[in-house]
Amino acid sequence: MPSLPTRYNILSILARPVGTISSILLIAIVIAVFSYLQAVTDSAFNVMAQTGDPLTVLVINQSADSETVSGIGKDMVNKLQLTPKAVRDEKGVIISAEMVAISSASSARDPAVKVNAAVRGVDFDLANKARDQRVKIIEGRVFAPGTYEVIVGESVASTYLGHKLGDEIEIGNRGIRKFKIVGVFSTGGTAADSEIWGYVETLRDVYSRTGYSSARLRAATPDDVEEMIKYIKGPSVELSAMSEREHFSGMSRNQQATQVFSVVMIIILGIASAFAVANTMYAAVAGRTREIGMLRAIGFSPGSVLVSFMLEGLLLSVMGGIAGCAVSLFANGLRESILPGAFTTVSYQLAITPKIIGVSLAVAITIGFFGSILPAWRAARMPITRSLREA
Amino acid sequence: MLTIKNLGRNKLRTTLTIMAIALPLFVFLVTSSLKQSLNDAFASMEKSMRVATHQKLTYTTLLPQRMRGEIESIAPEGFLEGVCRSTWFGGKIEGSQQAYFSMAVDCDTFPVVHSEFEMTPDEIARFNDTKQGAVVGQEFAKLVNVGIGDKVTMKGAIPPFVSLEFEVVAIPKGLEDARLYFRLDYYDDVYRKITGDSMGVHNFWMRCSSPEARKWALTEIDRHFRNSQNETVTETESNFIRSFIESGGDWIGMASKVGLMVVIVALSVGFNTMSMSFRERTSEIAVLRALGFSASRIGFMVVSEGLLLGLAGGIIAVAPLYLLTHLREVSIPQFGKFTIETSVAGTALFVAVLCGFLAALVPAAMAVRLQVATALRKVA
Repeated sequence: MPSLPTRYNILSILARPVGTISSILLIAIVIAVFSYLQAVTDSAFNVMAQTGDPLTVLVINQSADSETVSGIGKDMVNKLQLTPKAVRDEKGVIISAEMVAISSASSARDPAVKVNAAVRGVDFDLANKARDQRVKIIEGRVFAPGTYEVIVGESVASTYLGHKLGDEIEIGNRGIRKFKIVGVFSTGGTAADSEIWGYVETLRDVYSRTGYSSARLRAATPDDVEEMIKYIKGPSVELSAMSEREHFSGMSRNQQATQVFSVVMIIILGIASAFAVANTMYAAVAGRTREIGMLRAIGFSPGSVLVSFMLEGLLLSVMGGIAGCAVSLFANGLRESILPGAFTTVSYQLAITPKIIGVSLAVAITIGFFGSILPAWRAARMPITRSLREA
Repeated sequence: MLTIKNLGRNKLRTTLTIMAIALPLFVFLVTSSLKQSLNDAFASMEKSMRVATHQKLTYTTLLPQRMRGEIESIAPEGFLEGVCRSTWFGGKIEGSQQAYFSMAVDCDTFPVVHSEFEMTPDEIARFNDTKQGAVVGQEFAKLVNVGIGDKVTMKGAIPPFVSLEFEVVAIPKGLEDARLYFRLDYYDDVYRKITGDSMGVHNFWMRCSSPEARKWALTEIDRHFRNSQNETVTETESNFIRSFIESGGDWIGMASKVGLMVVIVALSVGFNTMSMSFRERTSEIAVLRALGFSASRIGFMVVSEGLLLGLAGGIIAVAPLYLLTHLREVSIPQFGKFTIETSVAGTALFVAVLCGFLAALVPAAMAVRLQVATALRKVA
């Protein structure tokens, strides 16, 4: 069966520039909206997933579901020294006992908007070892233990008002103290970049905490993680333990509502744009009635006419999809923030990933397919004689 | 009229276009309604005589219970109708991960500070007489399937994660949401037994007797506690709720962004159709012009076609939901009652017509500027 050359479709599209451009524009807008919404949910999910290192074991209170509401005593932390398989340094098992509190700050974008920053008390060396040395000081220096000094994550420095290197911020509950920001750190885009870190014993004092919130240990292999969790959950310690990854991916489940929202949006807008493609294609078919009759008369089969018109619709939608993805790239790098369930704001950068572009193009093709199938069907079934006679 | 005739000529296209305009506008209607109801809620709170005091740096730090007495003692006579301490509990029912809005409150001042719940004297008396008593919202009673006199056990979501058993003593007329309020002194008893310490308070809610009293509360309470162990921030109810909601993300901004984007979609759908039908009818328009129809008359015809398309799409988008929410009550879980206000419906309809108008402008201009002779010569 001879098929019509694609060049025929391209020339036909070019023959009606206004209709073509407006259809492409429409699909482009819909696809750009879709990519943006997808980036919002995906990037939020990724920041939480990245935060979770599969080889870092997070220990919290059995009744708590997040670090902010967890509390574990000093004696419990000591019991963790005996955890089997845990990675050690020259001083023994690496245990980063940490304290987490919440402090509110003003957003730099709009000072009237308050954001909740997590304040984390750590021993910097231990915390970094438990996180596989992923914490890098990018400006200034680490806080000195025992002083009113803190370091802030790079998201904090860039999105909160008055949280730059050298600024003073207020921290504490029973009596509020002023802390100086002496450094900015980065963990490469994890939730920790939205945190404020200070020396754990100083912060415990300022927050009048008797114990810690959580502890982190390090494993060498995934099998070791299992064994460590079993020990910590068992009768000798009786705390809740899980890999950081498991913990944070659980928290990102809160993003499901946005996910559902963007799917519903794309279905509604997708149907709308499929209708618009159908309109364009019906017009194309109607405008070329005689042409189609001629094609059939010189021997092209109904199948090849169908395929040809389908191809034309798909071409429109793919071009729209590419244009939409190109537009959505402008959203790449924008900052958004989420509240992943533990009452602390995590800000993240939007990333238009290859996956998002792939899915968006697939949606564009789907729109083109459903928009052109009926018009193409009509073109293929046109009786030759009548269409040739038509003016 | 010619316009209606024209629309009826290609019924399939008209239907597709109207639906393609209606769908995005439906999204616009829903997002702007949600936005409107949030803003309305803030506006009604703006007038509220209720203020809330919390710790200066966060909502989550606990303040000592005794501060209620201190606030009452520094307030001028008659300024405060009641001070109600409240502590977040976030109770979960056994076997479920869903944390309900649940708070420990002072039973003596709760009915005064939350007078909008319209508790009856009977209900107030029962709440005061029953230490384990709980006041629950109608939605809560429905979801958990409890009535007056029933017992319900919940486990707190914050330390010390205690399980408390409550007895439902009131389901007030004015409390629709899935909430549960219970007595602070009961929680405190259990808390002391476990921790040996007295329980802390997240907020002090106060009802002020006059605008003047509210002004006093907003400034003087914080001044009193300044430089103490427990520094505070006192806010109006609307500011408190607004910053609480906004700390979870800029929902209102997000709704506006989505609303704008879908309107652009509707606009380009209209533009697509209008330019297409104009292109097809180029020679027809040229004939009309040659017959003596004025250019402005033709332009008007094209524009009115766009307006009509927009109006039809708008009506289809707005009418069903508008009628549905006005004929019977619709509520969304976690959000509450949902209505499409007439003003929002009107705006959506206006936007629809505007889209039709704007979409028809370019084709209309082209029709007006059409070179009659050239167009007549051209074979379509």
